[in-house]
Amino acid sequence: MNALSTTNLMKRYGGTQALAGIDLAIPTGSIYGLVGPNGSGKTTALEILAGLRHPTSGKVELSVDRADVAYCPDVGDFEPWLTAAEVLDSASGLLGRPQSRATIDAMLARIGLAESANRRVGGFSRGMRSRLGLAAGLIGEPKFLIADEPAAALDPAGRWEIIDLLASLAGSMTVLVSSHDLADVERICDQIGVLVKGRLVYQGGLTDLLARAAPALQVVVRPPADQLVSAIAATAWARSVAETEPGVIRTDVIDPAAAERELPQLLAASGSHLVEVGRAGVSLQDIFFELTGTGPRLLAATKERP
Amino acid sequence: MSIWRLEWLRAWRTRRIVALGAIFLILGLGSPVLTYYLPEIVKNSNNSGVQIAVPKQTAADGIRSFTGNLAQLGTLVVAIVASASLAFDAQPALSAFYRTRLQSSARLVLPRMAVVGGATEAMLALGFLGAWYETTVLLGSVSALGILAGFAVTSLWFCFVISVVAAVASLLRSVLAVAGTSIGLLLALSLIGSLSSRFDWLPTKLAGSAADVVMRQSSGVWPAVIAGVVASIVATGFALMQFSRREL
Repeated sequence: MNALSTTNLMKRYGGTQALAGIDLAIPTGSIYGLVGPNGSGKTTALEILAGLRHPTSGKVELSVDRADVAYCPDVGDFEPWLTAAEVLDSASGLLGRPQSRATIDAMLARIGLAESANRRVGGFSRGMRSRLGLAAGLIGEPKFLIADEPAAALDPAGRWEIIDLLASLAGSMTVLVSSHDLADVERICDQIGVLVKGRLVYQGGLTDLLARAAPALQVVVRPPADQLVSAIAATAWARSVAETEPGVIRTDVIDPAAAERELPQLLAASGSHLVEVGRAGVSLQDIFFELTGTGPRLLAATKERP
Repeated sequence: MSIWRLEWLRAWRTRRIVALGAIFLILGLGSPVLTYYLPEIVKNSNNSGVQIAVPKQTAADGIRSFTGNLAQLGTLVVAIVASASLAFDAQPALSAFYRTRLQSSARLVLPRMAVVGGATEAMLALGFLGAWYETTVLLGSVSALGILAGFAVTSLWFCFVISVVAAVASLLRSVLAVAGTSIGLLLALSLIGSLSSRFDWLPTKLAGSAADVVMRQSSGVWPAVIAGVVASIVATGFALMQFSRREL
């Protein structure tokens, strides 16, 4: 059963098509990652789903009450004259679900703001406001949490904590999260939607998406590796080849058996000093670049086979 | 925390209620004093040798000075305070915080209007009490009923001002734009009202006739009272409709 689904959701801003008819299906209890390049329509989609914008056409169907949907913008904005504890008190009180001071303090501790509970938020940093925004969303005990780039304003350690927190919500509520950081999405999401120029180019399980990827090999030699890269590019079994770091070659393989058979000969012929060879892990980032037509592979085009 | 407590905290912690209280009290206590000393002020500041005769100031003059200042400076301050409170779409992320929690625009807008209105009326009452006291002590007696009637008429004027600000805030976003446009509209309305007695029914008449109401010299303020009530309700309804339609 889906917690939320959309049918042909469209949004235009004047002459600009922000969403070109997307059909989202977000299963209940899932952690759904919405990814896409800048300007792909992620924030517009999230704001429509949160009820903050009206779609030009199309339909949004929620299986939970609108009051059970919490929306956290990338960086929360709060009344500067309220303390962090008062922000959470008002966040729950305005929903008609007032929480005790103990619950509020526990939530502040959970997001790492325990020591700032009685500080006015006017002096908070972007990162602190981002954490408080997530806490304000969670304090009302929502059944559906929409978080737009929840860790974008945080330092690496803070990012890790917030991603862990989101991961811990799995099963207890449905989470829709947008992120630029594909490693975060890969870590916590079980479902994924890829938006490109307002169109949903992929939607489904993350493992299904990763399984779609072509097998790849990683060959590590002592630099220089130019000769070996050229030799691999000239074979019939390599779909693409790129030297990602000095001496580290990654090649997507069309015919794995042929690659295993011929690679030793290529190494010997190019006079390369082999350090390591193995299967390359396929990351969401690789697939994302392929789906969206962006990323470093295009930058490495000079090393790709014709 | 309820929306009412939140709005009270806004009025208190942003010092808006203090600003309103200070302005109304200064006008209430200061205007009759200035009126009382007006002949001496004129006499001492006149160095040209020309004789200027200032008639002895009366209680009506004291009250007229107070209500005249209220109509100008008071209106300006109330419009700015109301704009700062009602232009909540000026900060989208903050607006999202409220809009996703209070599902109807009425639950968001009406408490803000009510608290700004309540704070204005409470501080206005202090101002009227101050003006009544000073006028009675310095210039002559003023009836309590007259003061109550003048307070009621001025209160209605400020309710109208707040509802105009709400209507403008539902169309524009920034605090500056809302305050500027609201004040511009009120000025234009006031200008139209001063063109001919045919426009005496306009709500701006409320601000201009408060002194006459206090001194029981008022003639024909009822059309303006009715127009003020109707216009406030219409402007508030318009604001609620527009706020619920407007996107983030």
